[in-house]
Amino acid sequence: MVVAETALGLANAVFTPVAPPKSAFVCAYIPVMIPGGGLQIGVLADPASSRILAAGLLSGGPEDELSEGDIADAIGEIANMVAGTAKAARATTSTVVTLGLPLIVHGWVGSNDRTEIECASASIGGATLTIVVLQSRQPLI
Amino acid sequence: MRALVIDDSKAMRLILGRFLKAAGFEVREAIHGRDALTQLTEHGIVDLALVDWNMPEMSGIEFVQAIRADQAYVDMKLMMVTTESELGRVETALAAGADEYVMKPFTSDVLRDKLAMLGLVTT
Repeated sequence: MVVAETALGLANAVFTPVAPPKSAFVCAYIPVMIPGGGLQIGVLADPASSRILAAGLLSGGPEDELSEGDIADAIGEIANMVAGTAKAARATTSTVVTLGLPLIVHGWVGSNDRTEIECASASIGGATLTIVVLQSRQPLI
Repeated sequence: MRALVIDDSKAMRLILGRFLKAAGFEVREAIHGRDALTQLTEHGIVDLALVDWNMPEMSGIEFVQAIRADQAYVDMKLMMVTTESELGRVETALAAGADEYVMKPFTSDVLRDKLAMLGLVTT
């Protein structure tokens, strides 16, 4: 299974910082709740890349038809894995970090002056994967 | 052998279901812990449940706790399959009654080895 054997190659992918994309994307955001603040970790892919990534994750043959829901779900699962890694990096014995459930967005979630945003992209198996981290500049009320 | 895959992600249910079917299991699916409990009540006990942690309605850890509180399921093996990778989470799951713990992403070899440790497949 591709996902089982390679995790889509995420562990070996080289991510390059990029400006926040503005085109329509398939996006999956996972909230990461940290005491005093929080993050939104997003995984974005253009429609063609999202189809490649979903097919890779699901190890489907060329005859498999992937619905928009299947693709969105696959991107959500990739986001879940990325967020899990970020969570493990932030959590300590005294800091409890909690993951929320994926939010699928067809389009682009923008930032404002209260939000910091960082993006980085990598090419994986012919697809372009962008990871976005949104963080509030001030503690949540 | 019968297995129940409990995950709100259709992609993960598909991946895990394929693996289990190839290993000879009859596979059912549930989209969260409460759905899984309903299925077990209505369609009978399974030998193995693969359980995600973060799900709506009822989380994986809540499902594990509910199952281990019921003697009817004493022989059912529970394996967490989750992105929760901190040692504290692993300890919590095992203390609640999970028999094994697999972190996503995983390899098919890891899954096979875990099932072998549970005595459900041979390597």
